[in-house]
Amino acid sequence: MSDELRDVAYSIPWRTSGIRAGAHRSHLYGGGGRFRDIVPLLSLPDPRRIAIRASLNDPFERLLVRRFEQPSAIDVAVLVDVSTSMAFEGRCNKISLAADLAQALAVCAERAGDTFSLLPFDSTLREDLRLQRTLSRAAHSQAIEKLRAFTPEKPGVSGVLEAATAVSGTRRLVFLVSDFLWSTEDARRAGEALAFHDVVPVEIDDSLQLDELPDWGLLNLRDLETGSRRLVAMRPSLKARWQAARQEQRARTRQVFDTTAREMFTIRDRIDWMRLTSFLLYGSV
Amino acid sequence: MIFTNPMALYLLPLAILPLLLSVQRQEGYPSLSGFEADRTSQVIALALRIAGTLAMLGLILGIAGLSLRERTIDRFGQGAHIVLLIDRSSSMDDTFAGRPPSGGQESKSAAAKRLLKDFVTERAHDRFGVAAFSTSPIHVLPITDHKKLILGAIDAIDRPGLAFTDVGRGLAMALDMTQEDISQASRAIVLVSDGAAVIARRVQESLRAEFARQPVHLYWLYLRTQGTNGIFEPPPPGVDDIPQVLPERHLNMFLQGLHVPYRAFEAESPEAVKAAITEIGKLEQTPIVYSERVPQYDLSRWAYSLAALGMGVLLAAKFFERSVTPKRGDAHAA
Repeated sequence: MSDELRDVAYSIPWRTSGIRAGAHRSHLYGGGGRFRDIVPLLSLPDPRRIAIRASLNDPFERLLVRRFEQPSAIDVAVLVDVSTSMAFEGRCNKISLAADLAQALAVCAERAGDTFSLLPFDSTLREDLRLQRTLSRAAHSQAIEKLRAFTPEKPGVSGVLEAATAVSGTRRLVFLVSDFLWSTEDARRAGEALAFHDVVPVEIDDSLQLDELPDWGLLNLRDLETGSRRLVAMRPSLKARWQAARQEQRARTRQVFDTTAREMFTIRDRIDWMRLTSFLLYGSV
Repeated sequence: MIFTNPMALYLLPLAILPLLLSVQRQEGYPSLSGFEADRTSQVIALALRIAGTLAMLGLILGIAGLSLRERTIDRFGQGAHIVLLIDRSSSMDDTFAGRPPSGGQESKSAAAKRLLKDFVTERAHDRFGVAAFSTSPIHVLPITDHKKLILGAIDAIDRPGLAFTDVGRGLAMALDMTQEDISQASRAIVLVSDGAAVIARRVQESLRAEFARQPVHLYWLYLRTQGTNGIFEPPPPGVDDIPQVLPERHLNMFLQGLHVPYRAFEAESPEAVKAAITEIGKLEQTPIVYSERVPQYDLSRWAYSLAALGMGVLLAAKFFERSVTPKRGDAHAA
């Protein structure tokens, strides 16, 4: 694990209702953490927190106590697309990049006291790779290594709906890691199913996939998703058409996720950890 | 269409393979669903498959030994079947002046050879046979349309000849040769000689009988040496008009007496020979039908060429093949 990887951090722009003490702002109040307000002792019978100056200044001569926000833990879920399109290996190995990302997030969750769960999916939720939410570091790294060694074998992304069901309940920070070569319909359904959560879509893109395709020549391609074969006589005009088509598809997918999720973060060939951290902390790069 | 090795045809189903399997290495691509099919690419893909099939087909047919069966085809033309009956006696080796050739002079046989070869080359539809005679007749070439053979046979006539001139048996042999030819074309015998000899009476009788049975056109090209007897003019006074003294004149008379179409040409120079040959050519212009034998023709070289062409196309495609994945070791190790 690189040092950079250990430096990733995330924050949430919402308050959790988690009851476990953690590192995130919550709706709960308690004895420690960030000062919230001053209430009468009767509403918070904790004499250790009596605010003397406020009590002396109170015109009604009530005993007032300080109330603090209780930082709580959240649940972090990483949904990884392991459909066959993720098997494409150009400048990067998408599955391995996803595993890197999951590992960094797991470390980060451990540090913040949050639970971590890993939910790889293709056409179904992959129960064999699935990690239930847990605080166990050993379980985290085991699941991530299993993911890293996995070779995609099934097409389709409809398993994202099962994964969404699996993370239902309290609001979570959900990372949706995929190449997002999805149909608009798939994206819309996934967005709706995960709408309750704080969803961070992370797109993994490979520059060899399109922009660095050769300008001229015959490409004998097999669609990893559908298995259909196609011989392509690549030339600059066709490449431009492909780029336009891909751009359009990507714009549509983004549009769908923009209504229910955070802005999409794109990883291209390699993970820029600084950029990722600033995105996760401040919501933008 | 026959096959010299038909067992190889059992391999023919293999030719479907390029249609079913892709010829080229395939590479996974995340998703093609967003990109509509492109016409040029489709055409190229189809062409490559067909090229593969053709290559396979060509190889298999080549192994099977595809060939055209030997056959006979009918041809139509104008002309005749001509037997060249050529005098090979040693006097033919002299010039028209009666001397052995020296310097730029041309012997009678060389002139005859040159002019006859031109004649054969010009007459596209004629078939020729060649016979020679000297001490005895020599069967050189049956009537055939293989021009190379004919030219070769004529080439050989200026070899140094033998001493005597047996016209009678030569004529009999030429006539035999025309009889061997069963086609309906008009037949002619062209006798090329520079002299004649007495034809024995028995031979004369049999020749008359033969010519009566099988009429042919007869031409005599008499290469007359200067100062010798002509065939037309009457003998000078004081010379006995008998075959032993004037054999040419009497041969002419004998041939006229055969009751077949006959003409004699007297030539004292190559130009005159040329004129005579041209005249013969004009006279022999009847339409003929003749059949030509075409030998079995091996088509496997074409089959292999087809295969080579197909494989060339595939090779070009291989040459233009590009990869979407980087070379080993270039990939980013995360």
